[in-house]
Amino acid sequence: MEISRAPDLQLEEDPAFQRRSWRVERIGTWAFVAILAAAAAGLLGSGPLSHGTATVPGTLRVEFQRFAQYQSPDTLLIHVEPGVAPGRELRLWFDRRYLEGARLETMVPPPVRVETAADRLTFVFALTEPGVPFTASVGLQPQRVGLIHARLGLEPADGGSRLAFRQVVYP
Amino acid sequence: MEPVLRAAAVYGLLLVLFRITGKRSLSQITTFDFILLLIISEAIQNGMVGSGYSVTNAFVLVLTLILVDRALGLVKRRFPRVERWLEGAPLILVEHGRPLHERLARSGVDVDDILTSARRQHGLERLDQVKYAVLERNGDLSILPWDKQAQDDEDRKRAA
Repeated sequence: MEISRAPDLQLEEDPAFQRRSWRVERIGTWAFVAILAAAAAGLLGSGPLSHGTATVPGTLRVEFQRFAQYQSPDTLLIHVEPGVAPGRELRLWFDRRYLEGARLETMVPPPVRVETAADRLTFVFALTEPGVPFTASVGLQPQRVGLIHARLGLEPADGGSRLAFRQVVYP
Repeated sequence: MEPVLRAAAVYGLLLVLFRITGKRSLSQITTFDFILLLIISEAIQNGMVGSGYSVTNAFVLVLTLILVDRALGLVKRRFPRVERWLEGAPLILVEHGRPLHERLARSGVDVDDILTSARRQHGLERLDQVKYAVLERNGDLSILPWDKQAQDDEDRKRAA
């Protein structure tokens, strides 16, 4: 940095401090650019890096967001293969603690009824076309910051299938 | 990713909007301009925030706006042509006391604006005391009075 000599100016320059300030600014700006790149890639939610899938092969597939934000919409897509649910009913359960941590906002298609148990809520859907894959879109809203342990599954009488995955919720 | 795209889109939209609708939009705020700015900020809020009420979302939005603005600043410094497109060029509106009417009309500036700036900046009283009036790129009106020495000589000559 050029030295400036201005004896007639009543001013207190501090070149060392100025150099350090510029350095902090440079490093800080690059850090923020990195954060922005991470956000654009989805590390803070909704993006390619955030999209996750959990599967029980041949039966159940859930598309979820690995990274979500507090009190912001978080959508799950649940795909069930045809023929998995016996009869004309599909029984999808969600762990109670999961739904306490991520409030259920919407469910499309809406269930015919909801059954409560001590540890879970079971949503019962009517299958009008049993030979066709079933897809449900579930809108959640995380009510807690931190790690969410998601647990859900299908409930046919012969044991069913279950999935567990984790979501990170930013404040 | 979505908040980044939203913020960048809103920034770009506002940039184009304000650039195209004219220079005087943001400088020298009148009461109406102020109200307009308030309403605009309300109107774009929903488009930008979406339904994400989290601190993280707000942080990403602001970060995007600031960094896009800085990046644009760098681009403008590196490429003068881009700066010209984005900022425009200064324009002389009054020359040697004579208003250039077509330029004034097209710029949306009237003689009263010139006189207001002349009074505010230099305490001038009449248009013929203005040597040049320049509409700057950022919408400011710069008044250049006649050289003081020359002006005093003129006044002295006139008095004699």
